[in-house]
Amino acid sequence: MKPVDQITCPVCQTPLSDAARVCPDGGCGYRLPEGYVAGCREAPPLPIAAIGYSGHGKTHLLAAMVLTIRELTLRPWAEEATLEVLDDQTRAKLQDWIDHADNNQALPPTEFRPERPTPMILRVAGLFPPRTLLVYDVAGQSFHDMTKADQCLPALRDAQTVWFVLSPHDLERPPDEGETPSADRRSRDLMFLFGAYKTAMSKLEAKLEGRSAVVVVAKGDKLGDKAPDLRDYLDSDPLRAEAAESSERFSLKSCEEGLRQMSLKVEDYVGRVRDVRNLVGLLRKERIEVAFCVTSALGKDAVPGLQAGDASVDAPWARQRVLDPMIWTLLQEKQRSAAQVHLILDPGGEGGVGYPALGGRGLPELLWERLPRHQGLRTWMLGEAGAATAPGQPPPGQPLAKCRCRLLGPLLEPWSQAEPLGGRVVLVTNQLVLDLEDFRSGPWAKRLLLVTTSDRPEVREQWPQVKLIRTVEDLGEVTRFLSPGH
Amino acid sequence: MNHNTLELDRANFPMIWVESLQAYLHWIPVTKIQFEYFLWESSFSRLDQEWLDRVYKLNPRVTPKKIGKGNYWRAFLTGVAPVEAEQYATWCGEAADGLQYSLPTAEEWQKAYREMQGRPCHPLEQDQAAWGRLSDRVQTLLTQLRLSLSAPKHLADQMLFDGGVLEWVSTAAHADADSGWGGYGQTNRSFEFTGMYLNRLFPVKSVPKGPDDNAGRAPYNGFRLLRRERA
Repeated sequence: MKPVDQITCPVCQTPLSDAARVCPDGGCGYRLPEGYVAGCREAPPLPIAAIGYSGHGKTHLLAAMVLTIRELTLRPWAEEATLEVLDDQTRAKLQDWIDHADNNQALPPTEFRPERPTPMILRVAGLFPPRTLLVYDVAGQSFHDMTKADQCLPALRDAQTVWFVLSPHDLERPPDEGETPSADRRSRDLMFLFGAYKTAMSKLEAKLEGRSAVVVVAKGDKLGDKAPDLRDYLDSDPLRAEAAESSERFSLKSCEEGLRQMSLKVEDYVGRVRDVRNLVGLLRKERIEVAFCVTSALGKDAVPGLQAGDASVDAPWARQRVLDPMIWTLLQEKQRSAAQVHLILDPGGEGGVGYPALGGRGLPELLWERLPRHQGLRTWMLGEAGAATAPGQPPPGQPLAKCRCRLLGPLLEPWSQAEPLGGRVVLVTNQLVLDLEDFRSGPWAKRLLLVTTSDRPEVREQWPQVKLIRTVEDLGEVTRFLSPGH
Repeated sequence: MNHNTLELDRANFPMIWVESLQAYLHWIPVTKIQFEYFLWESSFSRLDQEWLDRVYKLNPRVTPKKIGKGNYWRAFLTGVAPVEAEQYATWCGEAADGLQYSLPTAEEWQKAYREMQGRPCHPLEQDQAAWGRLSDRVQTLLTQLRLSLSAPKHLADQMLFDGGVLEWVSTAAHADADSGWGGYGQTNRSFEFTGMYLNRLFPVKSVPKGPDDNAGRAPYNGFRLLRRERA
C-alpha cells in the first residue's frame, strides 16, 4: 500500500483499481497477470523503454540484461534473489532469448508493429529493492516516423528514464549497398530520434522537464582503439559469466561510484561523435538529466547467416556491463526522489474550506511564486490518498472540499520506506494533525517543516520544525528549506 | 497446504495462523493506526474527521513511542460499531485476491482463544520474515505493547485476548444477544471494567448502526478480524 503513482495498465497506461484483473472499460481490455496490482505495490513497476534505430542493439541489450539478472539470481551469494516471470508471453520470449544465447545465435531484428506493445513482465527481488520490470522491446522503425512513437511505445509517458541506445560504430559506417543516402541518413540522424521522442511525449501529454535519459553506447566491443578506457571498463565487468565464481556480491551502492566515473568518460567519448553530441544538447535543453554508459550485449560481431535476419556468433554471448543502463535508471530514480518536495495542504475544516492565507491570498500560491525551481514539487491534500498534482505543476488554486481526516501517516510511512535518504515535506496547516507526533523522533523530524499562520500554541508545538508566517518575508525561510542545497 | 505463521493485513499489521479455524487472525485487536489507513483510502464519506474526533474522544489516541502499562489500550480502535468494523474488513479484502476478511463469530473467537491458550508465546521480533516487513511505526507500537504486558503466560495473553478490548463477535445463532452482536474478551481494569468475563459472551443489546449513531458506542468495544480464502 503506497501513496505513490497510480498503478497503470502495462499496455495502455490506463489507471487500474486495486482489484483489477483486466484493463477496465476505456482501456485496452488486457488481461493482467494474477495479482498484478497488489504485487506492484510491493514491487513498483519500472518501465524499461529503449529508444533507438534498427540495428543499433536495443533487443540484444534488453535480452542480455534479462539473462544477466536471471544468472545473478543463481549465484551462490544470491540466496534471497529471485526472478519471477508473470505471464506466458514473457515466458515464451525469455525462453526464445535463452535458446538463442545457448545456441550462440544472434537475435533476429524485432518485427515492426504499428500498435501498442505488450511488455515482458518480470518481478525481481533480492538484488535491489523489489521491482516489477516492464520490458518494452519495440522495433527501430517505430522511431523512423516522428508521429508513430506515441502509438508504438505509449509507456514513454510512465518511463521517467528512457534509454537512447545507439551504436557509434553504426552511426559512422558507410551506407550499406543498395541503401539510398536519404534512407541511410534518416536511420542515423539522432536529431530525428529525439524529435520522435519529443513528439510522442507531447502527444501523450507528458512533460519532458525533470525526466532522465541514459545514453547507452551499445556494441562497445567495436570501439577498438578509439576509446581504450571504455574497452577496459567492459572487459573488467565483475558480473560477467566468466567471473561468476570469484565475483563479489552485487549491490547498487558498490556500483554507484564506478558508474558515475565511467559516465564522465563515456560523455567525453561521445562528445567526439557529432550526432550524439547534438542529441545530448537537445536533451539537456529540455532539462532532461543525462547519464552515459557503455555496454556490449554479445561481446563480439554477429556473423550473418544464410537466411535473412539469421546470424550467429562464434562463441557464447559475452555480456559486458549490460546492467549499467538499468542501474542508472534506479540511481536516477533515487536522485529524483531525493530532490522531490512534497507540499501537503490542509484544505480546512469546520471553520471553512480554504488554505491558510496571508492578506487574502493562500499560502500555497504565495509559496509557488517564490520557489526558484518547481520541477520536484508535488502537491497533496491532507487526508487524501492520490496526489493533487503531477510533479512541477502549481498547487490547486482553491480547495473544493474540507479535510476528510487530518492524518499524515499513510503518506509519510511509505515514503520513509521508499526514499530513506531524501525528499522533504512542507505541511501547511492551521490545525492539529492527529498522527504527526508518531513521526516526531524519526527521520522526518528534520525533513518536514510545518508552516502555519495560526497563533495557537498547540498547533506550533505539535512539531519541532515550525515556521509561523506573519508576513510574506517569512516565506523566505520556507523557500530556503525547499532549495536543493538545504 | 503450508501456511506461514504470520501474514500482514492491508495496513501491514500482523495476523497469525489459527489451525483450528484454518484462517489468519489479527495478532492484536485492530489499532487506530490500521483504521486510519482505511479512513484515508476509503470512500465512505461519513467516516470523516468529525467521526474520528467523536470516536477518539472515547478512548484517546496515543503515539506508539508513548505506549506504556498505563495506557496501552489507547493504541486500539474502540468505540467502533460492528458495521464500521465490517467496512474495514471489506476494505482489507479489496486488495487481496481470493481472500476475505470478516469479524469472527462467537464460536470462532472461543476456538481461537482456546488454541492460543495452548500455544507458547511467540517472539515476534525474532520472526525476521514478518518483522522486517513492518514499518518503523508498527515495530515501535508492537515493541512498546510487548513491554507493557507483564509476563504473558501463553500466546493468548500475548495477543491480548485478556487485557485488550471487548471484541465484537457476531452472534446470529446465540440466544442471549438479540442484536446479532456480542462481545468477547476482557479489558484491562484500568481501562474499563464493566463486569465482562473472558470466557463468557457479553451480550450487547444496543449497537450503533453506523457513523451517525452514537447509541451503544462504548469506549471498550473494538475488534479483530479473521482472514481466510474465499469460498
